[in-house]
Amino acid sequence: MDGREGRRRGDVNLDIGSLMVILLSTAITFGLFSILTGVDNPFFAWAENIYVGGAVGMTIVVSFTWIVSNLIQKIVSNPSANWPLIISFILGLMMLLRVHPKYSYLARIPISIATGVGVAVSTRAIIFSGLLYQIRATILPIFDWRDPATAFTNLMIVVFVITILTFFVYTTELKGPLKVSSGIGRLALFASFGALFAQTYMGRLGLFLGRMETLLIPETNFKISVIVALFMLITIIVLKNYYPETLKKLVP
Amino acid sequence: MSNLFKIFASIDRRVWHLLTFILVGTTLLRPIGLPLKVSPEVKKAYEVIDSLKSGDVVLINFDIAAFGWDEIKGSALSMVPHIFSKEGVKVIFFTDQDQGYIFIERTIAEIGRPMPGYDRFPWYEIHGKKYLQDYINIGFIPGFDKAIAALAQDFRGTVGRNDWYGNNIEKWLDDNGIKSAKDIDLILTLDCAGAQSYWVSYWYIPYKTRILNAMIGVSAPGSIVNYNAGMLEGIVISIRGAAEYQYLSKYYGMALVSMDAFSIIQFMLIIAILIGNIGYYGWERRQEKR
Amino acid sequence: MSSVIRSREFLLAIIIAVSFFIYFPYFIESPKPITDIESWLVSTTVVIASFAVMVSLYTMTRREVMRVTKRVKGWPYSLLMIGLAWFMIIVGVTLGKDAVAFRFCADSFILPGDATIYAILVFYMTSAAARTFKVRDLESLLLLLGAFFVLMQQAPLGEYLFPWFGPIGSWLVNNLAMAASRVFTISATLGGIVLAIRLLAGKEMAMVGLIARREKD
Repeated sequence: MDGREGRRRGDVNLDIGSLMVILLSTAITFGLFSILTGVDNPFFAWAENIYVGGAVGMTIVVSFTWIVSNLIQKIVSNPSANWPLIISFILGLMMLLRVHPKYSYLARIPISIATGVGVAVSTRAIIFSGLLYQIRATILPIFDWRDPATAFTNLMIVVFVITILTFFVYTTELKGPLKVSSGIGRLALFASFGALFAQTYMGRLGLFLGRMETLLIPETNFKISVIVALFMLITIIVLKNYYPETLKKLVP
Repeated sequence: MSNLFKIFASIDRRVWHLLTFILVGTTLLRPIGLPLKVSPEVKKAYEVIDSLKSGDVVLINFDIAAFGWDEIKGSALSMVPHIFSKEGVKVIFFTDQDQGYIFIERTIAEIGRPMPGYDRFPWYEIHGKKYLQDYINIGFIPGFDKAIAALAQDFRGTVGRNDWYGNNIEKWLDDNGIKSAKDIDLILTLDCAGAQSYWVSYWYIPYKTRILNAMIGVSAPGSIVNYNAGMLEGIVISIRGAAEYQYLSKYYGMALVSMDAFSIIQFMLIIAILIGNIGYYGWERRQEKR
Repeated sequence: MSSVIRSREFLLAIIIAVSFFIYFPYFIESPKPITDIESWLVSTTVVIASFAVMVSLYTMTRREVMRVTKRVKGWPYSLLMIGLAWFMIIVGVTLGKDAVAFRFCADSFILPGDATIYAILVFYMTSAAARTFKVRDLESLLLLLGAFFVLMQQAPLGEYLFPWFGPIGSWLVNNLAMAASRVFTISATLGGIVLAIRLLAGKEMAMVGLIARREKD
């Protein structure tokens, strides 16, 4: 059924199911890309709604599967030994009452537990990983004359961390050395935003390259992609220029 | 000349969109094969995996959903087989994303083959390692960070008795001496949603478990910070890092091939910025002054 | 009874009790019953999270059904959305997540859709950079230089043509950008700690669904 195996090996003898997967996945891909034309069009609306609906369906099924296999099966197999899980299950069910107008207040109990646990679990650990270890990693040797390059880099890290931190001081008026420090921090932030932009760009480009690889290789995909892309592009141009009223009706 | 500046200043964004499509398409179909330098952090990640000993237990987290798969697959398809190539190493697959099990299966299908007499998951053999003998797949546990915390807190209780496919794994865990989080020797987290920070918080901080991290570009800053602080053993950043790992481990793949297209588009971006600046100084700024 | 459950104090008591069982065994060697409760609480949160997902289905279905019944513009798309969602749920729950029809929908719609939505961003980033990365002052020059050196370092072609750009780009990523990210991490951690304190003090009850009433001056 899944066309990936065939595509990877350059197999041209694809069954109808695999071809349908390739065709539909190409259609949804170019449907979403169609927004790049700058025209609100029915292909984008179709792709967007199909994707959202499918994603919700999938999430529900996977969560349901987990509840059945890791909770219900355990409870059913030995209820007396797994009584704490019964309480967990009841708390889970109470969560569903969130949508009931009369009993929605009961859902606040599991929400309170989840919030309390979530915040406490993350706080107790991030005190170390997000604060103490980060401060420790910033306390670096800056007077190592045997390795001046490393000493310089260490000095720069210390300077950047301190100056950028002072830039985020909002509780007091910045005067004198604090103002100078904040100014340096501001400039350092601009340069680092540039670097972070480039890193983010690399990531998004990586995603696009992967998507294009699926669309172009092997030849069957390439042909389907060209046909689908041209069909959508021509339809959008025709609708926009010759049937603008129809186009308006077709988009939500 | 001023006309040219005006054109530069007012290039329609769709021109860049179209150029991106054309350049990526042509370079992907006709790669050049540019040389590649390997960064120290990728080399470190490679060395950590290469030094795995027989009996070591590796937990591989697929923090992967479709939105990041295309970017992270280069790392997955080179780091995972590298782990499997190490003799006597035991592996546990896990995912904190609801779509993650699909990508675990894709990875296994790509690097392994069905065990003799079987034709479906989970019965696959990877580098001679067989399912339920050398590796297991515990699949998806909901809750994301809470799932990672729960595994650290009560590993056996959270994993339960069965794998993702309903097979009993208690004996496998007992045979390999896996009772709690302390028995995991290495974690490889392939991140699309920045799970490394939770592995660091819930596994490295209390148990000092060694963690390797491959991630998408957006999550890179957080990983670099933790790598610099010594909480991550090695990092593989985005498609570029994946290409370097593929080159080092000799598990060649699309990440390496797509480096040409990657270069071309990054250069196109630089040229786009340059043209924007020429247009700004030659036309826009003059208009502003007037 | 319901008035007790509805009360702010009752929910706050739950949060404080739960927090005690999470914090205490982490910092102080504790007897087994306490660590058992700690483990149970963490596992229960996973269960609650998985049930919480179901609520999203109700919300989505209600919203889209309303759009269909009221024949709001574009209602057929809403029909398509809930149709596919419910089809996948029925197939997935009855036949399992590995059923052919379920995997067909996942491979055809969800996975390519998910991948494309994020891949589109590269186009917006390109055109936005072309229009906005203009050297108007020192700050914008620094922004541009930071991006330029890292782009050069990331691209193998850049490293090949201009080998001296690579080390500059690496230095910027591993030191300057790292220092900025470290500040963000420290700031976010401090924010998280403050949030935890405010939650325990009952100042963040909106997080558990209680909407704060405006207090009189």
